[in-house]
Amino acid sequence: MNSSPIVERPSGHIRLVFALAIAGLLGVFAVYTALIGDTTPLVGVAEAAAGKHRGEVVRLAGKVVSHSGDAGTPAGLRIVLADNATGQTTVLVYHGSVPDAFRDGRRVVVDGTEKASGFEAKTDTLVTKCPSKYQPPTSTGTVTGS
Amino acid sequence: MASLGRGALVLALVVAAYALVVGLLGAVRRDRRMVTSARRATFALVGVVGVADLVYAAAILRHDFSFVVVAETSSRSLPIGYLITSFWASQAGSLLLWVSVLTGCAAIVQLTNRRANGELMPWVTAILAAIATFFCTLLVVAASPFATQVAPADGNGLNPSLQNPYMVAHPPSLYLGYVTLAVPFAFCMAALLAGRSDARWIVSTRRWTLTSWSFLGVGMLLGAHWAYVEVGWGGFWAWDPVENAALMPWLVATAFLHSVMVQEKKGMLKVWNVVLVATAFALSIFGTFLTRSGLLSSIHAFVASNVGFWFVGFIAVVLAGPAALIIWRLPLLRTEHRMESLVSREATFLFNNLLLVGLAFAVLWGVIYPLISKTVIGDEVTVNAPFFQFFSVAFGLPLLALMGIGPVIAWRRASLRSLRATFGIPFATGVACGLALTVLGYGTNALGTAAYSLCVFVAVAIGSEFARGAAARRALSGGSWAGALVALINRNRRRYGGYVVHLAMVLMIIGMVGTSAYGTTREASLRPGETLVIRDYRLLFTGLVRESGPNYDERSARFTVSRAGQALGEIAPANRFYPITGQVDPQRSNEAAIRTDWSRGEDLFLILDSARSDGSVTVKALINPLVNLLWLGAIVFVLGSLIAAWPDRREARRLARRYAEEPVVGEA
Repeated sequence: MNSSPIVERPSGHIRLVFALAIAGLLGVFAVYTALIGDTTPLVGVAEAAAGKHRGEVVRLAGKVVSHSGDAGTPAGLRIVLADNATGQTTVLVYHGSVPDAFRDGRRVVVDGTEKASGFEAKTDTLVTKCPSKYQPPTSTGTVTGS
Repeated sequence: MASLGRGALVLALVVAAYALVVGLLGAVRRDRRMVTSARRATFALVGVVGVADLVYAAAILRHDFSFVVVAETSSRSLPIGYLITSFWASQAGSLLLWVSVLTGCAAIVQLTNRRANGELMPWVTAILAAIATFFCTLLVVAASPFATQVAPADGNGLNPSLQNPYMVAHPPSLYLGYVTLAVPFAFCMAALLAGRSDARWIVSTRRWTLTSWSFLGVGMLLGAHWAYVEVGWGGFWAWDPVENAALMPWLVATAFLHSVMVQEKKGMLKVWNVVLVATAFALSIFGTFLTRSGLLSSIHAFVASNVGFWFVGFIAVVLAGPAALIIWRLPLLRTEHRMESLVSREATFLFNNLLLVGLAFAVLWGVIYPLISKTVIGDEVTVNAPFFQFFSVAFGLPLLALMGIGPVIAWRRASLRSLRATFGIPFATGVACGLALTVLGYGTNALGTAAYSLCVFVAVAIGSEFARGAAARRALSGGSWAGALVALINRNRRRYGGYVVHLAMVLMIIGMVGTSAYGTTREASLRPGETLVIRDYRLLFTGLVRESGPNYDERSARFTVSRAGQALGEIAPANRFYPITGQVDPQRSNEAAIRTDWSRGEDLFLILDSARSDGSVTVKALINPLVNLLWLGAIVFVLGSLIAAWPDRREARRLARRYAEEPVVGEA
């Protein structure tokens, strides 16, 4: 290996400033999210029903089993939501914008509060998986290839 | 047909693995025959992957629904343009696109470096082949586009939200951005493996980095415009993990584009540049993974994902490999010059880098926080939009200021006198803008006022640079101002292309701040004959109309628009319903109505949330001020990127002379 032409090493204080800045940034992220940040627990239907987060605002994830009504009316959109893992279901009433990709069988997430009377969904918080990850239900037929 | 496709992919895996092994052996043993053989394997790979592409494309165009993926993402009624889109609509299709672009890039790298970078190319060949081997393995083992089934009568069709012209260009643009980052990564690793500590690898890949950065930027802007016109919530950026997936490598690549100038000019930040290029590439792999795996919609999706662990393993290798190489080559990567002052161009670039990388990691933190919280506290906790907005403002405003300072401040050390001369007028103009906005009643939004003041500061600082340069050229050779400006840009495309990009960013920031800080939203349920008033617009609902399109039924709500008693015409937000074979419920798509007023620089945006059988509707109306500057800025961004990346013979000759004279540093 040839000797490298080191002219001068950087001054210590610049490196220190650099290192402290990075450490400070990471600290800020951690503190912000832990103490100040706008965070919401993501829970499944079964977890919500267990009441661990009762009274808190949570983000409820599940699969749409069926739906009826209209989110634009006072009666709202009635959604039967199943737990992605256990299949346990809950019923919620939602008001506001409905994403295009919303339909039975689709995985959705909605913000709201789990109360003794059931899940109270917040207006305009219903989202489905991003369209770029959209995978329609598999066509009928037997998979024969690999 | 499917067997041919599967065979082509298996052969591609074998050829890529061969190029990897033989390329590595050739590089280590300095065996010319092995290096040549690996190089030829790179070209062969293009042909073999091309066969797989053709088989897959033919299956889509022939509506061969015996291919599972074709049946899932297309249908007989799908227009031809969107049949093309369905190529990359699935996980398997998009991974095939990845490999196709990568092998094409690897071949271009071989062609353009036939007589250059002799020391680096064997390593570059092996590294690009390693990446191709990984993706071919995925396609063969985990996500084949050639899985078959008993063919149904028709396919499921493409998600209606993706049936938009922007979606034809948005995913390939992002993928081009992700994939082309492999080239600077490969050259950087090759330089470390070959023991080269000079900036030649940076110079050789500058255009690749610019291309990658530009495609990521254009891809995000196309996606933002698609979201604006198609998704129908009135915004263009929602801090969705998939959007963030493209933003993170773009931010790090932006930092890299700036810090390489410091290495080229001063021989500093060598370790930092290696870290940046490796991080940008790792984030591009992470971005591909996020887009395709569904990792963050649910922790269970991660476990269920058939490509998840493959990607995690590959990302670990992409991070660990460069880390080990940096430690090994640390003596070669020592800086050649000391940073003399914190008030200098190199220091400004360093601050800019810290902010860009800090912002990228803030976004990454927000994206992976659900996984961290699940691991640490057992609960999956998501981070909401205000987290991202806080950091984008906290880091974005200083970055905006640095966009005006960096290009014009002196290298090494700036004196107080030069600072006053350079920044006096831009600073005064920025302050005057802030005062004017406050007097005009826009000061209620302090962040908006600060952002606009800084935008004016940057625009004036950069505009002054153009004016000074053009005046100097006129003094030298006469001619018109326009001619002098063109000659100025032509003389140093990289520098002035960069300035144009900074001006584009200013335009885009004005547009973003306009909609977020000064926008208005109204929502109402209306019966025919009722009116919605938003600011000075009156929207009279005249009724619902049903129509049929080529592959959908449409229900539109008709509104007549007026402002201050003057009729402005009709707009009609709609819902489209696309039938799906074998299913009762059609797929719905929201078609927002947008009325652009160029004289006021604003959009009236109307969304049909729901329509009922009694003829009443629920609509959401928005006034988005200055949003069109975002799209205008996007065009200027492309122009600036083209100027900066355009081949420059004068610069090529200068660099050739420089590196011909410079002794090779490090071991041979």
